[in-house]
Amino acid sequence: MKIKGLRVDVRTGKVEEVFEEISDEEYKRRLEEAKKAEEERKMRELIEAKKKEILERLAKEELIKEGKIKREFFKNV
Amino acid sequence: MIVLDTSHTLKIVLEETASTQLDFYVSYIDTANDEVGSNEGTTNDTTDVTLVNSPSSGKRLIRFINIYNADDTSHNVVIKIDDGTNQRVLKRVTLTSKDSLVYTPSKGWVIESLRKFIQLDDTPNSYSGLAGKLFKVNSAETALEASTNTDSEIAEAVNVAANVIEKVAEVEVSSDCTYVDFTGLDGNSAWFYILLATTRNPTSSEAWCDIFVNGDTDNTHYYAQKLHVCGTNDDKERHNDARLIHAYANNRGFSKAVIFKDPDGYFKWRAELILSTGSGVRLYSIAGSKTATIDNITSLRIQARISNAIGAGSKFILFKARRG
Repeated sequence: MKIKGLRVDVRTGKVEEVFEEISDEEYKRRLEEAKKAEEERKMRELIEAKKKEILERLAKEELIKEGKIKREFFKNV
Repeated sequence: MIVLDTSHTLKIVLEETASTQLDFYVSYIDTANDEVGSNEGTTNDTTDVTLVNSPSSGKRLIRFINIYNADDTSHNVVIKIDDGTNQRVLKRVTLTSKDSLVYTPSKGWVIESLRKFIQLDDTPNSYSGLAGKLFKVNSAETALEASTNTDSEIAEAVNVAANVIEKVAEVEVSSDCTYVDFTGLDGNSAWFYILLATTRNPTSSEAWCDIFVNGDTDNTHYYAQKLHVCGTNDDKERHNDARLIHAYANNRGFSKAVIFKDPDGYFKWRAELILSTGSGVRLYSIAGSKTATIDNITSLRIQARISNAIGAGSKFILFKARRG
């Protein structure tokens, strides 16, 4: 498969369209990698959000337990 | 525009005597009969001379006045309006020898110098053939002269003197593509490159673009440490790749990166990214490094992991920080 690129020669300022041949396997591999990275990114964001949620809940419970914050406070937040 | 009515005259006087009196010429139009008239003459030292008489009826519209200093020395010239009782000074100028004081309604009073250029002696007396040229003081430090350098040489000289960073390449992508190569670089001379990139990803997959040096497009030869901030959430990761710019599917990304070879020869980049738009805007901060050393930075490639993910309208500007 041909992939299209631009080549810029900074000495001459010339910009030209160029093509590179990659195998179908390579193309497929890159696509799968990109898809995998996208999935991983989404999973990581979900995990990070959940981690934050759990940590925040635990922190609140600890502070209430320690008597530093009243439970009623969070009802108003 | 100077307008005279039936009680006003226009006069000229010098503030000192002259060896040779100054010449003048005036033209005007009378509104009473639409007739064109003129007057010419010379000054009379410190005695008032009428430049233009008052009209017998209607108004007299002054269209042109030229006062030429024919003397060999400068003179202070005073132009006055006289209403029969009072005199009001319209203009007072020092007119250098061989210069003219010209009045037109559109430009007002202008000193025209035939002999001089930018009020310095011995400078070119015409702009002909000097389009785009800069002027410099001549080696004798007595006058200005046109530079014989080309525009680009002048721009280069100014930039060198100012020690500014230099733009080495600028690309606007006209049709979707997968990579942009910058060739002909010399990192040993430039020390640092600065890349500004704003990209559109027109594909239906989100896509990272990697930065590859000297044709090494194997992602496993690079590592990138990433900090990602989205709302109140953040995450940090190290990736075994050369990520530089990211754009979600059918979305946009921006990256500002400093790219360099460290003193021991390791290729590195440090990038700040903006992703997405409006309420979805996100921040990425990336520090990257190649695992092996390089001798120089001779080329850089920005390559999307998805084909044609560098969409039309994407823009790249590459600067070098140093002039070797």
